[in-house]
Amino acid sequence: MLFNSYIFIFAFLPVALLVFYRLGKVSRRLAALWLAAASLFFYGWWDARFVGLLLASVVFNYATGYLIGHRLQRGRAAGVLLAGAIGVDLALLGYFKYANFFVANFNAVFGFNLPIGEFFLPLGISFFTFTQIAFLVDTWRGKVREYDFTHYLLFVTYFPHLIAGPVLHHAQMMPQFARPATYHVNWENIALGVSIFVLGLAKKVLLADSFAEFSSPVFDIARDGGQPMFFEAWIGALSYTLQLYFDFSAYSDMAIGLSLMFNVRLPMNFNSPYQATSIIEFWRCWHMTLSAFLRDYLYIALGGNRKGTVRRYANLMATMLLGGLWHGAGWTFVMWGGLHGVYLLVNHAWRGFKGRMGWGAGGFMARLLAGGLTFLSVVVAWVFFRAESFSAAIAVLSGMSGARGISLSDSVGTHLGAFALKLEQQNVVFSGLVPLSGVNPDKALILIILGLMVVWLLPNIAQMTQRYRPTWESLQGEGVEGGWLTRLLAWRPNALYALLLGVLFAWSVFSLTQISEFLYFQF
Amino acid sequence: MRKFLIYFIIFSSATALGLAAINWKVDPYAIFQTRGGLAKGEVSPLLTLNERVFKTVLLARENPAAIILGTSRADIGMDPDHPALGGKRAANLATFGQPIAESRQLLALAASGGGLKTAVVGLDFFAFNALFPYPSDFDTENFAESRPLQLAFSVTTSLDSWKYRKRARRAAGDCCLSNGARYPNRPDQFVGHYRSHFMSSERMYLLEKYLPSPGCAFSFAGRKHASTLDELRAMMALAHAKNIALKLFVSPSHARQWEVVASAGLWAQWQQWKRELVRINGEEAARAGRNPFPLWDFSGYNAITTEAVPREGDLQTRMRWYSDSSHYVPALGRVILDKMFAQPVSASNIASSIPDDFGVLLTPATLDTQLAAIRRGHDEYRATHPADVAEIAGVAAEAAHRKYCAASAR
Repeated sequence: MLFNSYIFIFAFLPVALLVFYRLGKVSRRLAALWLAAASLFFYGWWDARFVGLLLASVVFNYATGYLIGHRLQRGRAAGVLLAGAIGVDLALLGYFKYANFFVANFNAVFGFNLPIGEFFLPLGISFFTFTQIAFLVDTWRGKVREYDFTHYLLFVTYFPHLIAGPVLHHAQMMPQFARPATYHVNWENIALGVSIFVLGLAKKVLLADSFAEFSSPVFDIARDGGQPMFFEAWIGALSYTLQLYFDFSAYSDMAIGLSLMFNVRLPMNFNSPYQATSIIEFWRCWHMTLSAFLRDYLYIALGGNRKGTVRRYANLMATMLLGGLWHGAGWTFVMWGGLHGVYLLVNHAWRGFKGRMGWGAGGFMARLLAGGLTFLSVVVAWVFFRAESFSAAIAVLSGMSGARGISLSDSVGTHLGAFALKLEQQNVVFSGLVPLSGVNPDKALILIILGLMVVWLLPNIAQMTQRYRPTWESLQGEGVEGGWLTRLLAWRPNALYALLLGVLFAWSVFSLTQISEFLYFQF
Repeated sequence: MRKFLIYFIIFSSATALGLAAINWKVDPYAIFQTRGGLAKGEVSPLLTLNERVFKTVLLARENPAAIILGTSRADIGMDPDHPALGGKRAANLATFGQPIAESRQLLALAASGGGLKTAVVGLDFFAFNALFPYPSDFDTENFAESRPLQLAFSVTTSLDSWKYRKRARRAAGDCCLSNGARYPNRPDQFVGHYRSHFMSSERMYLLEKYLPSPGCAFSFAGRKHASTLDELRAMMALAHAKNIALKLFVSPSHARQWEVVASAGLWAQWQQWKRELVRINGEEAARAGRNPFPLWDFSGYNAITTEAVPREGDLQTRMRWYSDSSHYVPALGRVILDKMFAQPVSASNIASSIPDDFGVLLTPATLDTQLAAIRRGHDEYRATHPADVAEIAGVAAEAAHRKYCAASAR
């Protein structure tokens, strides 16, 4: 079931909420079980076959965690059990997500012809595998306090996050399910949750989906062997950059809003990442829960920065490469992770150099330059992330660099007269800005400029609602700063805001006629 | 906070209901209340670009007894009011650039009501090119059962309602009359510039239909879907199963159109396509234990299809059968239906102008003879119309220069 579908908005959600609070008056356990059952129904709406797999995974990991935490503590047997259980989790993930990738590469390297099967990827398997590995590791580390199975089941299956994150941590979630207040109607949380959900929905259907019509044709052409020229390549790359951010952050916003309606605060997943002035900062603001997971359970487990600079950089690189592979079974994803790994190494080295030289953060222009460079690096990496092959990525990137020439509109050619002929010798043609994909270049440019202004200048939803503490972090007193625009747009429970959100909601629902899937479902 | 939520519910409901009421009232696709109020033959106040919505969401679901399927040739040229189609419950469901897969979907939708008896299907070679992209107004959602309701609560409908306010009601060539036929072109619409109109259509076919970018190839099998020929096979299987009389015909485009096919290097594939049509028709009939469906080929060379194209600027000559190389006029569409339904030519004034060899029933027995006749006709046309042939060669060269083809396609 998609968050941006009629069935979810007008049937599933109201029923889930009503029954939850009705049962909450009778029994908190019953209400929690209901929410877990509703979540499984939500999950099974796509493909009921995988509900069993999800449940089996939950029971297996809970039982293992319980054994490690209660019976074995930190003994040798606990370590073996932990390694075995993580192995099983990763094997399951590997079987569904990476089997074909490995077989194809094995065939290519060793000249075998092993068959490649058709696997249906169970939705959200990457997410529920990671959340549970974190639980297992923490039981072994002795950090887990609560072992209530109902709360565990709910923590893993909880529908707002199940399909595309945020990657939840048991220590953030299970105590919230244990709180009695969670099961009582809180109108402030519901009003705020509805508002955040509506803003997320609008972001998805009005912004993210608008960019898809420009990015897909350009990357499709590159996939088919085409060589997009300058403007076309940039339109494709920037559209995808904006589409992915609006799409994924909208999903996270909707998840935060939905969860708030159930009095549960999810962690923040995005904090205006395209405003970052360094790659290090970008990763603190992009898919924050995944970054935290990779940091805590991979980078630190590999030794983090405790074993010297070289080892630290190697750990960082390994983390980013695996993070890339986590996003998809393909070398382009590994390349994306690798690129970000290199960016991070350069960023850390630069920071060290700046520190040694005693240079400060720099003025406005320095920050602008740093922000521009960071954004450009991120856009370049997204090209690998989006492209279906290396050759397609190279085609788009060489188009962006201008190496494939520039195509201008016919009318420009007519106006330039004889000079146009000279330009034609310099790899300039006059076949329109987007000769290959046929997208509407005027609309694309206007939307891209608008989209960039939104991501660079406007506050994010967590900032706009910060006063009401919508996220898990805000509950811990961690705020996100904002300027005068944030204060101006800050959410207020008044009639004007209700009017604006009401119109936005109606308009967004009216835009659902063509259902489109969230990009992050594939990861 | 409760007050805020109440306000929110009131404002969002009011906006939604207000927009839906406007959508219903303006009814830009004529799928809500307008259609019921239309007299037969009256023009629906539609935007031309939305004919697919009207035909898929409304017409195909009205349990028609007879339908016409196909591309813009059938859309523009075939009149569902023809007596052979039985009058009232006949609908023209042909649309611009209708791939054969869409024809199959429309046939299934129209047959789902149980009343469909006859389906006339215009077959066009390019509609079987799996690399030919679906037209941008095609939307799978139009086939969803709840589509009318979705469209009542749709922002697209609201935006089209807004656009519709500015649109004049009737324009030549607009979609659609209440039975799906197009409002006819003015008889003198192309007088004086037939030739340039022919050339621009030919250029478009070379750029977008026969060898579309970026693959610049023609293939019955696409990247993701199975052979387009299987779509036709599925149509035949459905028609046999539901007892629907399928009447198939290859469009009678102008001889220049086949010169375009030849200049694209697709002559052999075009001939092979006809062989496949005959083969599949036979196989599906055998599978169903029935006779093959009548399959007519109107693409031969004769007095109609080789009609002279007036020189540019000739303000006196009006073409009788064609508006461009691929599209024939409704009068010829009527003759096609006369022929397919074994009726005397309905308009007596043109009966004498219809050559006997206009339309050949394709069967395994007639196939080779017909293909040989077309080959001869082609050779003869090239010999007798060097100026036309040279003109098309020029268009093909220009299209090849303008067209973008992926490296692998070059």
